[in-house]
Amino acid sequence: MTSNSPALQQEVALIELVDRVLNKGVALTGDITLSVAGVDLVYVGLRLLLASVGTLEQLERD
Amino acid sequence: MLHLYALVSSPAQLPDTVGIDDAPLRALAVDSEIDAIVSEGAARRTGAPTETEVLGHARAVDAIAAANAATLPARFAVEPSEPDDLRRRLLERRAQFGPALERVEGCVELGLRVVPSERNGDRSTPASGREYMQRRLDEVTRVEELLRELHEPLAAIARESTSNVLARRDVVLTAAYLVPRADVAAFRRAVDELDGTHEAVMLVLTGPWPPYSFTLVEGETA
Repeated sequence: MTSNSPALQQEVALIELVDRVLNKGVALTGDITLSVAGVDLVYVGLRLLLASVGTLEQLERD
Repeated sequence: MLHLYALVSSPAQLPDTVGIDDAPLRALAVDSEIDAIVSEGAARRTGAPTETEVLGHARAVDAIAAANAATLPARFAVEPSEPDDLRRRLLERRAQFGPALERVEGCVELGLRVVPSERNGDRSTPASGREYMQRRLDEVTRVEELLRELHEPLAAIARESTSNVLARRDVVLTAAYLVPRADVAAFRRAVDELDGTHEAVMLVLTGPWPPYSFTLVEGETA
């Protein structure tokens, strides 16, 4: 079934963004891999920040 | 001290954007073929990256990927590097970057998250450990079916893909696909078509992202 929920789309986009920036990409020494709990913490903070500055739309590119 | 955002094929095209802490982006030559895109970083960060830093990194990488034909995003590094040290460590891994840049050229990454439909599934507490184990086995079997029915057809039309079976209550499986820019619309249509065939799950497609999940070619390890 199709998800037409913008809230779900935004939530997923945020989780996917944080996962990519912190856990994917070229890693050199000195980098950390945050635990799942760590990602969740950053994610909760991100959601609050984004909600407060109204930039959620920017995550929904194209 | 430098913060690394991405590696690109030389000559780097610098986007009209700033990095973390509004620091300007600049190119640092790794060798004659590859440039690193960096900004002057704070002397020392402590603990987990902040929201502003994560978003600043992500936005800069987005802009870099839009301006360059081939971009390998860097993972957020908590500790900034000395320029010489950064270049030395990149040169140590130089051999893997050429094939990786070639593979991602002209491509974006699309993310797929398969989540259970809201009223789907048995939420009751299992009566016994045996029942719990049986349910868990059933879930994993179901996800393996979904992997065949949803992921494999999409993987077949992507240049490259990765998948991750989670079989959790909030997320069943995740996958990422490397897709030529010109094929993104067709890929979305393929996802929509598959979505219509599965009532029990929802397919949430995100992106286009810079190719964070495709910075290593097959057979190499981080």
